Amino acid sequence: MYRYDEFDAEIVRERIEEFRAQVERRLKGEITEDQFKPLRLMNGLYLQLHAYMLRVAIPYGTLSSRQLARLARIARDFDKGYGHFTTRQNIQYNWVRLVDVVPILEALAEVEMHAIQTSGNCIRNVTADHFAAAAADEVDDPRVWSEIIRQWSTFHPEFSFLPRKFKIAVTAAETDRAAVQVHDIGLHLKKRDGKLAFTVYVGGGQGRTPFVAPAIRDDLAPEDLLSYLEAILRVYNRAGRRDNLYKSRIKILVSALGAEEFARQVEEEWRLSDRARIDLPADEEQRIRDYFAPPCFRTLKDADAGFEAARARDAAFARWVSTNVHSHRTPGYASVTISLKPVGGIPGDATAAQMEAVAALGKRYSFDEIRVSHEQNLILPHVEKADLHDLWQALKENGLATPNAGLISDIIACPGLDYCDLANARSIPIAQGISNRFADLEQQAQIGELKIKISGCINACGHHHVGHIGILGVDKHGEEFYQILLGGRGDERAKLGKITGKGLPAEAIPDAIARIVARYIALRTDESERFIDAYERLGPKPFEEALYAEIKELAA
Amino acid sequence: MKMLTAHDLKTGAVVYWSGDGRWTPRIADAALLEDAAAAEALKAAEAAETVIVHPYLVPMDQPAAPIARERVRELIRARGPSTHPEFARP
Amino acid sequence: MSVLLTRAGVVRDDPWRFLAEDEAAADGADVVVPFARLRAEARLAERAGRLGVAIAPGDRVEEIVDKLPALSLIAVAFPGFRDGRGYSTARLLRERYRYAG
Repeated sequence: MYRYDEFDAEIVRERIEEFRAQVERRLKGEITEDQFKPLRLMNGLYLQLHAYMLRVAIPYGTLSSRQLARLARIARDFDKGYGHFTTRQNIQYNWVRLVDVVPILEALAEVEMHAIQTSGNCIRNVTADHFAAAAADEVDDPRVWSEIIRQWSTFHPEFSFLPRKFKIAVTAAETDRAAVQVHDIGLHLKKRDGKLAFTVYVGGGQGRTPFVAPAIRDDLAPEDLLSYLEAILRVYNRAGRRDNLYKSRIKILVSALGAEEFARQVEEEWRLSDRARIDLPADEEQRIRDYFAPPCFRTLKDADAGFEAARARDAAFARWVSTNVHSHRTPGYASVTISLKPVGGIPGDATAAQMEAVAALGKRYSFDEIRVSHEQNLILPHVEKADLHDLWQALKENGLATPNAGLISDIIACPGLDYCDLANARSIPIAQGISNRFADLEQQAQIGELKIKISGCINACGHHHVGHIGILGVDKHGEEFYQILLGGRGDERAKLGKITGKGLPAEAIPDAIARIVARYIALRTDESERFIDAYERLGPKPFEEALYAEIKELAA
Repeated sequence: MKMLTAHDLKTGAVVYWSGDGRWTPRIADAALLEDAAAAEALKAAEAAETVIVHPYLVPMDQPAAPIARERVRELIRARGPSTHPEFARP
Repeated sequence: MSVLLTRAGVVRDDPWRFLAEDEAAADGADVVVPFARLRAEARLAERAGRLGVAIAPGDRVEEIVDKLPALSLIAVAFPGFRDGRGYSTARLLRERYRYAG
C-alpha cells in the first residue's frame, strides 16, 4: 500500500498548523466567517444541518487496518460513535465540533490520512474499482494510476481553483465497478493490441444536467496519462464557464463544444505541451507500483474442501456466499463484500465497534487491506476460502453479514435532509422503507440483482440517474415528494435513467417499488434475466404502468 | 412572524434566539419575532460572530412551527435526524 | 506612485503605471497597458520607457506571443481568488513561451 513520503507528511503537518491558527483567529473574532469558510472548506469541514461535518479522504477507497481502526477511534472520541461511508469512497463525520477538528486532523495525520481537497473547486479524491488487484477481469491495478493521479493533483499549482469541483475515477477491469462514465474524467484501462491503453471519458456527471461521458480517446498510452490529463484540465480551466454555478462543470463545456471539438482542443493543447516535463519517468512509475505489489498469496487449490462442506451444511452461510463473496484471480482466494446495509438500516453507516471489528478482520484475513466501495459497503479483497466461514461468523456477531450485496436492499443513499444542508428531501428513510418492505432475504435473492439509488436533491450524490431504479427527493411547498427513474446503469454500458411521471409521497414508495418488481418478476424470461436486462428488452412502458396502476385507481 | 436560528460556533449545535439575550438549543424557547424585530435581531446576531455562525430567519406561523419550504428542514434541524431517534432533542 | 511589495518583503516605490483603455502612454514612463491595447497598438514598444501588459483571466496569452520580447512586466490579474485561470496563463508564459521577465 502506498505510504506518504516525507514531503507529503511535512505538507500535511504544515496544513494542520495553519488551520490551527485559523481556527484560533476565528474563535477570537479576528477573522469573519466569510473569511474563515473557504479556509475550513479547504480542510474538508462543512457546516451541515445539525453540526459541522468533516469529510475525510480515503484515496481510491483503500485502507489499512490501522487506518480503519483510527477512523473508528475518531468516531468514538469525537463523534456520536459512528461514521458514514460515501459514494466517493470517503468517510464523513456528522457531529464534529469546531474545537475538535485540529485534534482529529492530527489523529488522521498519524495514520497518513487527511481531509484536504475533499471540498472546493479542485481535483477531488480519486476513486477506483473496489476489487482492484483482486478481480479476475482486471488488466492492471487501477490504484497505481489512481495514486499517480493523486500525487499529481494534490496541491496542483495550476488546477486548485477550477471553475468547479473535479472528479476522476479509474478502472482497469472489463466490468466497470467505479462508474467511470459519470465522472468529470473516467479512465478505463484496457488491453489494446496486446498493450495497455486508457479509454478517456470526459464530461460525464449527474446532478442537474446529467451526462454519460463521451470517450475522447481510446488509445492513450499509460505513460502519457499525466500530460494528457493536464491538457484536459487546462482546456477546462481556461474555457469552462465561471459565470453560472450550474453550468461550470466540464460536462457543460464538453456538451457546448461537442465532444469532437473538445477532443480537438485537448489534442492541440497536448501537442504543444512539454510532455517530458509532466509525465512520470518509468522508474518513478515503478516506485509507486512497488507499493501496490500483490500480497504474498499462498499457493492453494482453488476449491477448498472445508469451505465447500460448510456451504453444503449451512444454508445461511451459503446464501451469504452466493451474494457477498466474489471470485478472486488467485486460486483459493475470494473477495468479500461486508454489507453496510442491514435490513432497515442506514446505508453506509458503520459504528466505531463495527469499524474496529472490520479492521481486525482485515488484518487477520485479508492481508491488512480493507476497501470502501462507492456502493457504500466495505470490502475485504483477499480472503482465503478456507477462512470464509470463520469470517462470516465474526461478521455476523457484528451485524455485518447481511447477504444482500447487489440485491434490492443494497441501496445507495445520500445523507439527504436528515443531515445535508443542500437537500430538499430525506433519502435514508426511503431506503429504510424499501429495505423493510423487502426484509425477506429469500425473496430478495429471488429478485436478483437490482440497484436502487436515492438522492435527496438534484445534486445526485446518491447517483439516482444511474440506478436501475433511481429515486429523487424533491420539495413541493414544504412536503417531500419522490420522483422515480427507471433503467439507469453506472457500469461499462452506462445509461441515464428515464424519469417517470409525477412524484409520490414517501409512504407510497415501498409499494410503488414492489409493483415495479412484481411486474419484472412476471415478465422476465427466467431468473437469469436481471431487472435491467428485462427493462432494456421491454422498454419503460410495462414498468411505468405498474408503477402508476394503483395511483390511477385512487384518482378514479 | 419569524424565528432567528444559527449554529453555536464552537460546537456547531443548532441554536435559537430566545429574545432575552440568550441562544437556546430548544426550538420551543425560540422567540417569535415581528418582521422588523427579526431583522434587527439578525443584524445583531451577524455582529456576534464569535458566539454563533450562519444566523438566518425562518418564517413561522406559531411557536415551534416553521412554515413554507423550510418546514420539514427546520423540524429535522430542531429535533435531530429522523433516522436517529436516540439523538432526538426535546 | 504606488508602493510595491517585493519578494523580500521590502516596500519600495513602484515605478509602474497601469494605464486605462484611453490613457496616453507618456514617453519615458514605465507603463502597463491593458491586453487589448497591446494587441491593437503596434508602436507601443517604440517609446522610451519600459512596457508591461495586464492580462485579465479571460485573455489568451497565445495572442501576444510575438510581443513578449518587448515586455518588461506581465501582470496576471486575479480579480477573485476563486478564479484560477491566471495560473494557466502564468504556466503557459513560463513553460511554453519561456517568458523569463
